Amino acid sequence: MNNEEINTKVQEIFRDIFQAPALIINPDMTANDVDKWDSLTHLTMIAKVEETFGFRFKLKEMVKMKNVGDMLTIINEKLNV
Amino acid sequence: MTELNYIIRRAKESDYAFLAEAILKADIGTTGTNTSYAALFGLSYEQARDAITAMMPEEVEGCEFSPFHFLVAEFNGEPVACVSAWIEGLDGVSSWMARSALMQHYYPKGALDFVQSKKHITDKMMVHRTEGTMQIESVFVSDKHRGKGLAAKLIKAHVAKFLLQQYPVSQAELMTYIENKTAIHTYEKIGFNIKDRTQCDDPDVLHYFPGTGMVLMQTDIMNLMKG
Repeated sequence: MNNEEINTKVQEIFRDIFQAPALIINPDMTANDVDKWDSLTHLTMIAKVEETFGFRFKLKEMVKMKNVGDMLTIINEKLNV
Repeated sequence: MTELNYIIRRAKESDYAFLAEAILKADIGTTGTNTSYAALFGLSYEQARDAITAMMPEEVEGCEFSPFHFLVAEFNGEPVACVSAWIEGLDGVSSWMARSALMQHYYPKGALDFVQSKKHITDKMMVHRTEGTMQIESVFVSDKHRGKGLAAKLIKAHVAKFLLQQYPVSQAELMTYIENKTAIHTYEKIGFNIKDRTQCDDPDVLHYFPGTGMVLMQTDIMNLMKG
C-alpha cells in the first residue's frame, strides 16, 4: 500500500469518527485542530485504524504519535516492512 | 510521628501497588464513593487497581500512570503518601493520549466499549489541562498520616525538583471534584485559584464519577514554594 492509499484510508476514518465530512488531514494536524478529537474518540479512531490496516499498534508507537504525520509514518512502516 | 520520621524520595518498583491504590483513592477523595478509573469503565475497584499496577513498569511518561512522576513520603520504610507531577504535553503528547494508550493495552476490551457508552456524561465532566503547565495529580495521604502537611511538602519537593532541572514551566494546575470542598479550600490557601469548572446534570453521573463536576485550579509555581 502506498502513501496516498494510506492517507486516503486514514482520512476516511477521521471523517467518520470525528464527524467531519470535509476534513482534510495533514501531517501537522493534532487533536487541537479537530473539534471532536478527544480521549474517547481517540480510542475509537485507533481501534478503527487497527481494524482497517490489520495490525495492532505497540504501546511505544502510540505514545510517540504527536500528530497525524507520526501516525501515517508508523502505519507505513508497519505495512511495508 | 515527628516530621523527622518521614523521608521524601522518588517512587521505586516496590511502590507500584501502593501508587495504583493511591491513584484510585485520590480520585475517590473524601467525598466520593467510587473511582472513575473503575466505574466509568464498568470495572471493579480491584480490576482497575490491578490493571494500573500492571501499567507501571511501562514507565510511559506524561500522565499519572508513570511511577517516574511520583514522589513518595516514607515512614518506617513504608510508603504513606504520594503526589504525581509532570509537565503537560512536554514531548508533544498530551496526558490523555498517554493515558488512553495505556488503558487500551491494559484495560479489558469490554471496558473501552463501556466507557464509549458514557460519552454523554464524560463530555459534561471534563476540564482541560493547559499545555506547558506543571500538572499535580494523585495527591494521596494515608489516614494515619493526615494533618502533617505531607501533601504540601511533596508538592513543594516537586516544584523544587522542576526548578532545579530548569524545566520551562511557570504555572501549576490540579483538578478535583466540586464536592471536595475541603481539598478546594486547602488548595486555595496555598495559592490556587479556580480557572475552570464543570457541572454535569445527568442523574447517573455519581454511578461513574466520585463527584458531579470538576474544578481546574491554577497557580504560579512560586506560590507553592512559600510557607
